[in-house]
Amino acid sequence: MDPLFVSSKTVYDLMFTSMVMAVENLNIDVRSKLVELMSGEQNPTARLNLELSLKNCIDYVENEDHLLCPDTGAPTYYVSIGDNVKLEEGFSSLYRESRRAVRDATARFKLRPNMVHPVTRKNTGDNTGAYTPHLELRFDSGIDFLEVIAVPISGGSETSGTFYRMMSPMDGTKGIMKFILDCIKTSIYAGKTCPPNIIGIGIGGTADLCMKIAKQAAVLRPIGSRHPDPSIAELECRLVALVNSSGIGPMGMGGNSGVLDVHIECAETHIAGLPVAYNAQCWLGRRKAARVNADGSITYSDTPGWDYR
Amino acid sequence: MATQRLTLPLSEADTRRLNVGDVVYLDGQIYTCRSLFQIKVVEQGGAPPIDVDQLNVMLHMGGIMRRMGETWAPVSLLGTSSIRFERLGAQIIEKLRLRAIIGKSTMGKNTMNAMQAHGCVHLAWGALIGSILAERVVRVVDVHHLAEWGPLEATWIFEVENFGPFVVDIDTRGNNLFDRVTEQVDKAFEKAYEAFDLCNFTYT
Repeated sequence: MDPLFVSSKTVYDLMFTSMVMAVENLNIDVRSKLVELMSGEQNPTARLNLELSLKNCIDYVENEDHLLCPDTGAPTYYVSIGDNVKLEEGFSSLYRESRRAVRDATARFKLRPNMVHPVTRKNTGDNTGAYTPHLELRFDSGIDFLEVIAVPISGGSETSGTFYRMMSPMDGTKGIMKFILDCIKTSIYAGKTCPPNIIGIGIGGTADLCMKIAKQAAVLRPIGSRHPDPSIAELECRLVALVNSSGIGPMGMGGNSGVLDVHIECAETHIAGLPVAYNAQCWLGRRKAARVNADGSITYSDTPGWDYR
Repeated sequence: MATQRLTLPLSEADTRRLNVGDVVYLDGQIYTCRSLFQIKVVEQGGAPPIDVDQLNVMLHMGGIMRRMGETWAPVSLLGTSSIRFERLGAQIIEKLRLRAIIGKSTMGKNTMNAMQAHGCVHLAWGALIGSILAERVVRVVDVHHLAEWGPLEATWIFEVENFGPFVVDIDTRGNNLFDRVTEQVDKAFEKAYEAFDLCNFTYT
C-alpha cells in the first residue's frame, strides 16, 4: 500500500466534523428503527412521543443551533488506523487534535460543557480533562484509511444503565441471563436510561475489557446487526422480543417499544472467572464517522465498521 | 387518557382533575430552576424573586440558553431528571405553592405525598423535543441570579405557548404512571424468568 500522509489539520477536521455531526444529525439506522417502532406502537401517547421525537430530530436540522438533545453527552472517539497511515505530527496528534476539536465545538455551542471533576464537580468548561476526551485506537492491516468515529456518550443511559458482575464459571448461561434480565428491569424503570435503548452486553475478558466490549456493542454496532455466532445472535433476538413485548414504551411510559436493539460481545476470559457487563446507549444512538481515504478524499458514514473481535 | 391545554397559572381544580397518563400542553408563564435555587429558597431562607401567585409551574431546567446580543433565547429545551431534586421536593412545593413540576422521569415518595397534600402534579416529557420546546418559548420575560449562577442554574421566566406535550406521571391522588407500567413489565419478566429456568437460581 502507498503511504497515506494525513496533516494535523485533517485530523482536527475529522474530529471536529464527526462530533458536531453526531450531536446534530440522527443516524440512518436509528431513524429507520424509530419509524418502524412508531408504526408498530399501539399506545397512542407512545406513538405521539415517537412521532414528535422524529419530527424534532429531522425537521429542525437546518436550524443553526439545532441539537438532537440539549445533553450532548461525554465526547468519545473511536479511531481506526490502516498500516499505510502516516500522521504529520505522529500518532500522538490524535489526542491533541481531539482536545482541540472538542474545545472548539464547546466554544461554538455545539457541545454543552458536561465534563466535571468527579469529586469537586468543577466544570472544566470545555469538555476536556484528565483522560478526556476518551480515545480508543485500533490498528488494522485490512484497511487503507484513517477513520474517526465520534460517539457522544449519553448521560442518563450511562449513569443508570451501567452494571458489572464477576460470576463463578459454575453460574454459566443461567447466571448470564439473570444478570441481563435484572439489569434491563432496573435500568429501564421510569425511563431513566431514555428507552428505547441500544443495549450492549459484554461477556468475558478482563474486567476492563468486559465493560469495554459492552460499551462498543452499545455504541458502535449498527442497529439490526447480529453476532456472527448463531447462538449468541439468537439470544440477542430473544432479548429484543422480550423487552419490546414487556410494555415499557418510550421513556418508560408504556408501549411496545423498549429497545432499539440488543448487542452481545464475547471475549476469551481467565479460566477461573465469568465476568459480564451491561451498558446502555440512549435512543438517539449518536455516532458519526469521518474518514480520510487512500486517495485523500473525505467521506462520512453513520454505520462505520469496527472489527474489534 | 385525556389531552388538555391549560392556561397558567394553574388552579387547584385544574390539577386535581388530572390523571396519570393525561397529556398536557401549557399556555402562560413558567419559571426554571435547578438545585441552587431550591437550596437558596428552602435551606437558606431566601425569598424567591417571583410572585408565587402568578407563577406556579416550575421546570427542572435541562436546556441550553444562548446569548443573542442583549437578549437570551433557549436553543434546546428539555426538563432534566427530577429525581435529583427529590431531597427538597416536598418543601419546595409547599413553600412556593407549586401546582406542577416539569422534568424528566419521575419523583419519589416524599414529593408524591406533598403533591397529594397540596394539589400539585409532576409532568414528564416522553418525546425528545428540545428544539420544539425552545420554539414554544415565545418570550424570555425575565431572569434572576444569572451572573451569580450562570445560564443553566439561573431562574428564567418564560412565556410559553402550547408548551408540551408532557405526560402526567404523578397525579394529586398518589398515583404514579411508572409504577403502573412496572406492574405490567414485572409480569412479562416473571414469564421470562420461567422461560430461562431462573426461578430457583442464585449466584454462587
